[in-house]
Amino acid sequence: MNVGWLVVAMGAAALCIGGYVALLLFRMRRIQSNLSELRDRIPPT
Amino acid sequence: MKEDVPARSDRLPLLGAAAGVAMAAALFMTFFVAREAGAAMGGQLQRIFYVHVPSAWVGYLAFAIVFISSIAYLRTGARRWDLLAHSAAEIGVLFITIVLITGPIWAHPVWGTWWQWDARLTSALLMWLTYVGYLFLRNLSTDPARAGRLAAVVGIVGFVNVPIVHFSVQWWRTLHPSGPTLADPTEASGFAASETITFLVALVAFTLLFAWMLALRTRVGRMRDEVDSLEIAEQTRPRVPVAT
Repeated sequence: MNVGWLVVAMGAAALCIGGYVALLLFRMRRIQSNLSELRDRIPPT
Repeated sequence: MKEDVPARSDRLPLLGAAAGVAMAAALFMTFFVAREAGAAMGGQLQRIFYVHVPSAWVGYLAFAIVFISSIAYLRTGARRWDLLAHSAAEIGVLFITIVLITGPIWAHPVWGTWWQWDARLTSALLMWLTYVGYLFLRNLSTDPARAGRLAAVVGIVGFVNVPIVHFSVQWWRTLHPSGPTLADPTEASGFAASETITFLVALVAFTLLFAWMLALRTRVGRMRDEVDSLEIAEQTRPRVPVAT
């Protein structure tokens, strides 16, 4: 029983950290493509 | 200028790899090096300690960064301090969420209850709510500078609770174990060398993970700022009529 709860606790922690990191990487990729698109459109001053 | 963001992030993969290796080592030691605790401390369930306490440490560290960055932002008005405070608060809330999830899971079989309104648990919940409020506050104002200043005040005032959370187990009678201290890392907890080393490795691993996540989060923030300024530049740029 205790081992089951240990897995739940560790899984929840891994999900929190992994989920946040995945979200950050996804946001970074999206902003990166947005950024290169804007840089192409706007000539450097 | 174009190479600015990628150049700064060159060390990010290295830091990420170091954090990954350290986390893998910490996880291995948690399950295969640290001995099983006695039934009074939850037996196998006590291994939660190696995630719960380092997460709390990272939360404290994150909120200390929010505190220092908020002071620096109010003094200088430099956007980089505001971004650092915002990023640290977000990650701090994440790790304190882990603390508030793993704690009750351990407490349920050991204390016979999921939650006790004692000094440590109540002050920790209050700390979490303060920084969740901080993150909500940032979205309330449409003026980013005003939101940053308001959030900085909350980041400074909210930090008062952090030492209260930490020392609550010494200042008041609580159900929560006091755990090992720097002055006495083994005696009070009944830890032997294997548990102490596992705990220290977990502390280092979580600190590296935090450093990597903070660097990643601030990088995303800088890129977002650059997108915003480019969008403004595009909108205000004089249009050249295209000859057809």
